[in-house]
Amino acid sequence: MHIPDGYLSPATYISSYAAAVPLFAYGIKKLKESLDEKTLPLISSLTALSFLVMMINIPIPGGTSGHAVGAAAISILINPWIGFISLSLVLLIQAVIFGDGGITAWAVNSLSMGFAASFTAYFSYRFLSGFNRGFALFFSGWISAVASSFVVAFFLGIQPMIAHAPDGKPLFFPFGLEITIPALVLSHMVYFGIVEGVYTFVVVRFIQKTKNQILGEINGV
Amino acid sequence: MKDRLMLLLYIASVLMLTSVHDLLFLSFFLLSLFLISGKDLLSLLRKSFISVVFFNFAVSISYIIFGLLKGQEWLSYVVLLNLRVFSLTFLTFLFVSKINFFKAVSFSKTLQYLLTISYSQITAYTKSFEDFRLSLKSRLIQRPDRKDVYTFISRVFSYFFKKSVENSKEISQAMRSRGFFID
Repeated sequence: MHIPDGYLSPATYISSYAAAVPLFAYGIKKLKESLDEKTLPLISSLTALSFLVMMINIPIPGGTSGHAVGAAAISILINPWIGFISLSLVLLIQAVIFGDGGITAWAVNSLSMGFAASFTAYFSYRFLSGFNRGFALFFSGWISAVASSFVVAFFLGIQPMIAHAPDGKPLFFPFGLEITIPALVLSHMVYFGIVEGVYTFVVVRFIQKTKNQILGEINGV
Repeated sequence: MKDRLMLLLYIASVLMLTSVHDLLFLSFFLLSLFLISGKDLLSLLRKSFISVVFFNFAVSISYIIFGLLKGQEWLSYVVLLNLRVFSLTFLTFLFVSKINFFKAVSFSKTLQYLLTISYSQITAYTKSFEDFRLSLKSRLIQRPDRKDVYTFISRVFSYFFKKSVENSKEISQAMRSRGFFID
């Protein structure tokens, strides 16, 4: 879920930029240390892949469908820093060129759909894959969407507290945490999380099953 | 240089639009953006409207319902929110239509490179994906069942995943041959 422009106060988006930009720069530096010259081309190719993933509608049991974000799949297949950076670039391109999500909300969107989603998926998979790999894949996708929704709900929900008129009227997003957390997190637990879980399970299992050389090539770089 | 100056002006405008809460000021600002947009006005209006309509509608309607239930005045907030969101979105589209965004971020060679190559690959991938989607559609007489869709998605992801890694190797070699990595 992309937050558009105009829903976050300057105090929120400036501090979220202060957190996201150094993380982004640190991620690129860390990847450059391990991948060297192949870092930037690989990130840009996977950014295009992430963009594409958001165009694919995934049917889920119950007759509905939705699109995945894909951070979990990339994090599990390669590593969470690439997941975070690729998703952040997609969000920047979507905000500036396609008008999907706002430029003021880019950092919050990047921290939620990129950072939180990638790292929760990666560590959940690492922890659970020893017990049941199929479940670990589904759960990693599911938790990445739920964690991401929690971050978005938090940033939106604090707006009435930190930015309101003298008469108490909201100036940006109007609903508090008591509404945003149940509304966003529950909808992601029962719907979008399942879409992400199914997607992660289907595509990662296929890539791992086919045992193509690609993973070896990346990991061996 | 012009693009970078425009980027600074854009950032200053965004800060101003999110710091001032006066309806009259926001209205004048939006009107001046309409004037600057010139002959692109209608297409920018259309793009901005499509971009914000869903989210704004959902938030505005929910706020109106809450306001009516609690007996609170809701109009001024709904006008402020929609005016600000629309102005910011229109401003972004106007900014992108007037400058070369990729040149504007030239203060960082890495960011400029990442955005340029990513965007060019997004264009190519989107075209290929559309071909895949149409080829699947042309071979079916009824809607595919869920299992078939999962197979299609796995194959498509696998194809683009491999393509991404192979492309990155080719791009890396092309960059090396052009001296990109020589500081």
